[in-house]
Amino acid sequence: MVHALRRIYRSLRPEGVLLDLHPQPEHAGVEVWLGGRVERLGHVEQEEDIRDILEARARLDLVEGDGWYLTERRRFFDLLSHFPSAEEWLEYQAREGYTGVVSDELLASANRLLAAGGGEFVVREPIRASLLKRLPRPGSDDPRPGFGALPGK
Amino acid sequence: MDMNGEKIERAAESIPASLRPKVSFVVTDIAKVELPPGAYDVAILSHSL
Repeated sequence: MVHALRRIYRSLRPEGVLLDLHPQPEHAGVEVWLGGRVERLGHVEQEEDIRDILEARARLDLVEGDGWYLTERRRFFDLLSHFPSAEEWLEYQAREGYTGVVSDELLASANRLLAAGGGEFVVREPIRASLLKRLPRPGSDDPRPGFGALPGK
Repeated sequence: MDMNGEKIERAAESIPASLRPKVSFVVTDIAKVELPPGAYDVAILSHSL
C-alpha cells in the first residue's frame, strides 16, 4: 500500500491530487425496501474487512504524516446497492469474492418480506471519500516544482 | 487498473461507446506497474486500499 502510494505520487503532476474512496470501518446495513417502507433488518458481518480497512488507514496516515500528501477535503456518504432478492446479493458476493456474511435469521426475514415481489434487498455501505493533495518536496535536485527528493529518501 | 481480470473484462464490455476512445483498462498491480512520472492530474483509488 505504501509502495503503491509512492508510485502514484511519482506519477502525479506537482499540482495533482489523489481521490481515495473506501468503506468506513463499520458493518454495512441491510434493508428491505417495500412499498415505500424501509425495513432495517441488521448488518453484514465484516470483521476481516474492518480489520483490513483500519490497517490500510494506518498506512495512509503514515504516508501523509511523512509529507507525501495532505488531505484537503473529506466527505462521507452511504453507497446503496440494490438487489431484487437476497439470493441475488449472495450470488453477487460470491462472484466478487466478498467475504461479508449475514445471519440465517436476517436472510429468512428478507425472503419473507420479499416473497410477495416488488421489493428490493438493499445494502447500505458507509463510504469515506478523501481528496489528497500531492505535496511539493523542498530541497529538490530536480528544478521542476514538486519533483524534488522523495520523502523518506 | 485492477488485479482482477474478470472485472476488467466486464468493465471493458460495459463501457459506453462514446467513452471507448478515451478510456483504457489494464489488468495489473498498482504496486508493480510502471507509470510515467509527473503524467497525471488525478489518481482515483476506489475500494483499493
